Amino acid sequence: MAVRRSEGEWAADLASDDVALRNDAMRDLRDMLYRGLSRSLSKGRRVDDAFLEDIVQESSIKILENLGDFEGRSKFRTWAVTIAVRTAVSKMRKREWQDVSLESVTSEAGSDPRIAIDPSETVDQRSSRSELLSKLKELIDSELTEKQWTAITAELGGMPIEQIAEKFGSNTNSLYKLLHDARKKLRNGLEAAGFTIDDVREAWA
Amino acid sequence: MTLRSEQVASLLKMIQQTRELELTCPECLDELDRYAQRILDGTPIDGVLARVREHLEACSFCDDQFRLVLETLKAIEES
Repeated sequence: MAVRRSEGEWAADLASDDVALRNDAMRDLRDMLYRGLSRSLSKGRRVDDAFLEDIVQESSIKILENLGDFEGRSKFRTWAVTIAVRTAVSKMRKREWQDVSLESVTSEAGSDPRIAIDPSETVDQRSSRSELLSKLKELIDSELTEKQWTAITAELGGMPIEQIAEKFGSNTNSLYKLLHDARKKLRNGLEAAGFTIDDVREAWA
Repeated sequence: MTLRSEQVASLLKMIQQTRELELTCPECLDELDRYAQRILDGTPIDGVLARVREHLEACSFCDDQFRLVLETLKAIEES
């Protein structure tokens, strides 16, 4: 079992000039991450030992490289685990989506979206939904760029934003802002047309 | 593209949850350790961390990641 280090010891030992102390700390860090991730990642996910080892190794290096950024705003363990989970999730999503094309999740994405109507709806439901959908379609056509609509349909198709950004040759921050801008346009357009957010929610209850 | 009914519902939910100012995913994840610590300690969520909470309420990808952080910390504590 790994030695449990105190909060103050982690950062100091990992940055120590004493090679033996530093190596011990790295070993304990890897052990701690392995213990945590082997349990948390095993729930509903396919993660084999080799992949897990890879994540732990990569995370440990990132933690060491970014040690100077640890300011004690959270406990060291929390900070380190957050980096490890971010590394793990990024690698898992990249692996899952690398062979999935943008086209396959957006189908016939274009500037003329249509929305399937549920035949089980009542006449009143269909009427109010029809008005809402009609306005939504109009806004999509008039307010959104083709790139924005493609990004939205990819997100609706389940593709993570990080992967959509990669397919666009962009970065996650920029892609998020593109999507945010699109959502604001649709929200503002619906509100300007007299649809409140409650209307929107109730129409889909 | 013809959207399925559940996709339209998701789109409307996204629109409904849209705020004028939002953290991007990387901005949220950069603060996740601090947010997680406040949750674990039961201390107030304010300032930029309130915006982290808003982002997590609207972004299932980042929320999944946050929950994984908590699960991992719990697993370490129990091991």
